[in-house]
Amino acid sequence: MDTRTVVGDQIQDRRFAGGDTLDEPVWDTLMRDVRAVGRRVKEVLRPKVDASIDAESGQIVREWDLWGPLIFCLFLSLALSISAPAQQSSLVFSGVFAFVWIAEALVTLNIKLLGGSISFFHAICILGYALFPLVPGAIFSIIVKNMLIRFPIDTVLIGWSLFASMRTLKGAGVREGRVVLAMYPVWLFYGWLGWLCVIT
Amino acid sequence: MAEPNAWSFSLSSHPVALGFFLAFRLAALLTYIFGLIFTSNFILIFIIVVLLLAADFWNTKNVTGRLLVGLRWWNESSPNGDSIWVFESADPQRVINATDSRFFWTVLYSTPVVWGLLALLAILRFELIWLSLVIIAVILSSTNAMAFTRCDRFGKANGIANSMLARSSRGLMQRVAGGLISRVYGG
Repeated sequence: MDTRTVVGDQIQDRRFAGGDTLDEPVWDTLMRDVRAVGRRVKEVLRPKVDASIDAESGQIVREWDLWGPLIFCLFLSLALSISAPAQQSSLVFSGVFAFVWIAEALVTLNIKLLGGSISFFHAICILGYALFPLVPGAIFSIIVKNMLIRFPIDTVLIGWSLFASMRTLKGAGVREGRVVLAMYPVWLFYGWLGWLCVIT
Repeated sequence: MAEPNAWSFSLSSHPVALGFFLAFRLAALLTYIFGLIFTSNFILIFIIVVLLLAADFWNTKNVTGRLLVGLRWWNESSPNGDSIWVFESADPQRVINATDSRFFWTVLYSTPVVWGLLALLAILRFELIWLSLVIIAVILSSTNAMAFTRCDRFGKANGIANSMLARSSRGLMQRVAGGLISRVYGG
């Protein structure tokens, strides 16, 4: 095994030395990833408060994947574009889609620049999975047109997203006194998306 | 060196995997290019192409590379937050089917090139919302191309890649690609 470091990331070359995952049936590969996505959704949305299980829950989310963020982002963009005026539909869709990914990247960059010890993709994975509560919010906005009803519900959902992402990010190891600076964009991110759900 | 039927499916030892590999890539390309003929709904096409691109990325990374050429790559997060890129190559004893290998490497490298040309087309036509989709396609397909090349540092891919580069425009492109590759992979 040979390890080098490139731009702060490590690279390992391994020679496959046996075992059966190289020739495993495709179905096994597929189901393994599907189950992993399901575990991660549950884990990010209901972070375990008990410290003894923390290590295990950390491990589950540490193996990141971007399927959840992709699916939730698509649903969110779709829902918001459906309730937008007809001629703005595709603009809203691509705008929200682009916004979600670019904003997630910027928020992660912010955390890393503040000394965060979290991996880039890991952070994007968490932010993306924590989008889940906003999806029902956007769908709800399709059905209910009254902003006064939407507002409290979306506030609760934003709070859930924030709680889930902050709990799982756990300050991401940034320096003391910088935690608020690191988390502030996260609040902006979910707040803006929630606000879109309210005014759409 | 190329036998007349070297490209035939019947010589492949994993025809189904090869079929899916080609199917996903082609489907994403064709949906993007011809989608607007069948429907004027931009959102629908966008979603379909993105899902096909994601499926193709996952399929190439987890199934095709593994079955056709015995290579695999992934990224792990270590407990202290470092990101580790792992490139795994097969046991040298493993026999790799020549047809599979040829198909795999050729399609792997030509896909980002085709999407790159489509990106240029979108820029020239000022279709910026389509450009976002094409950029996603370029990023996903080139990631797979570069990662598998990295897995196969000392293997056959270099031979095929070199012959492809030699057949296409020499000089500038070769120098640019060579410089880029040596900077990314550090020799």
